[in-house]
Amino acid sequence: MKIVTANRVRLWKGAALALLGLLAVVSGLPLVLEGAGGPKTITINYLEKSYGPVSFDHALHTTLASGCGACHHMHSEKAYATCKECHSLKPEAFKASVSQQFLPCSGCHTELSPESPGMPSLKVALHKKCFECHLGIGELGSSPAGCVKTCHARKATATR
Amino acid sequence: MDKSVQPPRSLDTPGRFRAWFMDKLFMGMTVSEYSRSLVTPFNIVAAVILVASVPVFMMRYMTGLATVVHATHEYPWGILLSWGIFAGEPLFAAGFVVAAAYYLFGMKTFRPLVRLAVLGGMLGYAFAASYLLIDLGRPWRIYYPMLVNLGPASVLFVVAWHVALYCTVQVLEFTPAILEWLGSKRLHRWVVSVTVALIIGGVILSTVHQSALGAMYLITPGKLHPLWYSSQLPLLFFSSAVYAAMSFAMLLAFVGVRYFRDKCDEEFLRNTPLLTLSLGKGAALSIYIYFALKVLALAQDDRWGLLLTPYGYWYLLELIGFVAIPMVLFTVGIKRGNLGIIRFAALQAVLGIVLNRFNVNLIAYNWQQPNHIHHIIPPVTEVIMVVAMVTLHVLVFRWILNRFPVMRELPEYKGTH
Amino acid sequence: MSNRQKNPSADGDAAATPRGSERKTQGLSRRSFLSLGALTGCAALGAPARAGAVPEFKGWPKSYGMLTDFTACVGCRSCEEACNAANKMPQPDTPFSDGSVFKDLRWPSAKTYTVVNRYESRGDPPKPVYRKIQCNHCLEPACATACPIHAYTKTPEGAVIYNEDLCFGCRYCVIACPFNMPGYDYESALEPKIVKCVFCYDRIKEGQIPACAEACPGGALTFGRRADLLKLARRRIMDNPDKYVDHIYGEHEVGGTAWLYISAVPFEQLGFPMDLPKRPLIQLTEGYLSSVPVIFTTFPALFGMVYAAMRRRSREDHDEKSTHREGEE
Repeated sequence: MKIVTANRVRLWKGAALALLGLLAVVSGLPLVLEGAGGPKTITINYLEKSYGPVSFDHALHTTLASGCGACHHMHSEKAYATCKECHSLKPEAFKASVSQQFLPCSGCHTELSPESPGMPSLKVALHKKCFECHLGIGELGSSPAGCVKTCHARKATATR
Repeated sequence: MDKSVQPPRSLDTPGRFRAWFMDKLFMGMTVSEYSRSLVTPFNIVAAVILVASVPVFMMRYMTGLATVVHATHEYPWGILLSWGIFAGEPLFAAGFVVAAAYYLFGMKTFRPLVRLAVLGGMLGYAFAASYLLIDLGRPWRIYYPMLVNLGPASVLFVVAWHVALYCTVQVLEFTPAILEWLGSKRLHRWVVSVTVALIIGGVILSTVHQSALGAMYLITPGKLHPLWYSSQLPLLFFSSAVYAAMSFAMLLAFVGVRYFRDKCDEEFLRNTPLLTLSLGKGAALSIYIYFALKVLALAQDDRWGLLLTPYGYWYLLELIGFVAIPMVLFTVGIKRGNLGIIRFAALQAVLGIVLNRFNVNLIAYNWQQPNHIHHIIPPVTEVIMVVAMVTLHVLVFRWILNRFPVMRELPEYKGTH
Repeated sequence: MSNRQKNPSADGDAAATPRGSERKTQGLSRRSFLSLGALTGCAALGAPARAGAVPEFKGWPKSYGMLTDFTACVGCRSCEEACNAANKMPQPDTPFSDGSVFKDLRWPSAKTYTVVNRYESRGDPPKPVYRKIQCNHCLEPACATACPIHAYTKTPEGAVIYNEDLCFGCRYCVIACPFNMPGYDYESALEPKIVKCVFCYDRIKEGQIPACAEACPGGALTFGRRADLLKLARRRIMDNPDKYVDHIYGEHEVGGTAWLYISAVPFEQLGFPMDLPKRPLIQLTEGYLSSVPVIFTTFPALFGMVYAAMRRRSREDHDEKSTHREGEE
């Protein structure tokens, strides 16, 4: 009876391990998925003084877009920046400045500057990108009220 | 009966002064006689017009230009300026044309007409300035281009300065008549001695501001219809002003002998046919030149194709009906010595000038705007203001002609000018 | 042969002393006539040569501009609203969120520096095209040329600004502007003035962005140095040849404007004037203005000669008549 008991313990250990492993895999799946697709939703509310927040379903858009580069266009033909505007060109510094992840929009698009007219502000970058597909939905583009009806409510305290 | 021809009385005592003043003012009539003489059909109509215009002028100054004109972005100017400044100024150049003919070119036949023409010119320019006082947004600043800030790149700056100086010169030219009326011999002598310099000054100032009125539209190549726009606009405006002035001088002389016969002396009446003929020759010559210049302007910019458009027909009406036909009539009238034909041609020429200036200012300006014709029709208030100003002008002119020695020479001043 | 004034330049041409109060100059000799004529001719001929020698104004190379991309305008009217707030203009009758204003074609007025109009494009399906209208801040503005009181100034930053303390309301600037842009406040009796976009001069002087450009969400308005904006516009057109009409409006029109436009729709369909000359309008009046001093220098000599010649002839005629009469006696 001693041998049978030892085998059963080994069996239970193995099952427990397998279960743990499965649990780990199952619980770790979202982590893996997140690492591959970015955040699920992003709340855009940097203009919260004037406009209500916009809830952006990032996960959905990753399935709809032709690729990450469709929006994160650092190296597409839409990027009018030259290399040295984002990367240092010294070899040792270059490697360090190349990040392993995609920058969010605000990583390059900040405030408007008269000295670099080719770089739109964050507001303009977001709108131009979203308009590529969403212009024409509802009253967007046919009436000034379309903006608040379709996308983001306007607060009474709005300054503009 | 005309007591104003008597020598001036002494101004020693207040009573005598008052008598002298009333004599000058009422042309020798008593107050009641004078008031009764005022009631004529023309005067009644004039009074109605003037009374009707008072509320309009009050509106203009109290509630702003928007209540009396329909000015917008596309049409900032209306008939107030088209009539008062652009059409009026070439006509009232009659003063300098006649004065130049007499003083500079030594044409003695014009002596009797000089004062009348200079008066017509001076009064006309004074009224032109009054039209400005109505139309300017801030008329109390009318002296700004002269004294406050200079904008010498502007053609309007040239116009403003030259008209201001020209008005001064004209007033100085007319002072001999006023001084005769008031009876001051010494000042009178001084003024007459600088006349030639004043005349040359008047010719210069006139030449520049007549051409400048045309040059004002050089800056509107996209807005003025190509048939009326030309790089020769200054020259065209100047040459048309020459015959317009001569025609207007002829008409002034006609008005003098026809409606003010009792205020004219022998010399005036005798010389009028001669100087009408002379002016007619001058006008004919300058209208030929103007016609040639207009045709040249068409050829220079190759505008022939545009003549077959609606605006082209309107242009041809102006050119043929109001320039070519008077041109022919002047020639016929001079050849036959027929004053009636010459005067009719002069009237037509004057109407042609008015039409041309209205075309450049209103009809051919911004012609491409939608509803263009609808926009340039003036509102009733603007028409009332213009008619009232014309009435006032006529009344003031008549007042002066009735009292001043304009078409006659006072015996004690004969031969002094 | 008593006291006769002899003109030193007259070669023995003794003229009779004039009668009465008119003591005028004596007759001219041929020599002085010719020399005066030569002087006049030279002065007259010199004028056109001088006009050509006027140095060309190269402008301010670092002045700002605004690139307006009509393909990016969505008609939200945020620019109108921002301009209204930044310049403290009165509230309009219809709120800025109201799209019913688009049924009429509006124009900037005394109460608003800028408007956005909607045009139906002729594409298939017809998409609305929006156009923002305001002063174009020309490089060599016709309004500044036309103003007799110099109430307009073209600033080095690029804005064309107006001084209402000088203006007397002649509206010649409105006549001169090739875009019919300056609005006049006809409704005011005591303080009428020109009303037009000022390019947010106070803001751009400090290095900030004009209110409309800051408000625009779609990126239709891009503010920067005009030279940079031209390059940007050319690149956009080059990268998207099917999207844009190959023309940057304002690059050369009337000598160039600070506000530049690129569009998918031909500009004449949007109401832009297309027959404007490619040089500044001041060049059309320079020739005339330079002839004015010539008239002042030559006419006195010219007419003085004419007068002197006439007087001399009339005096000679008179002398002839009196000698003739004496001869008869």
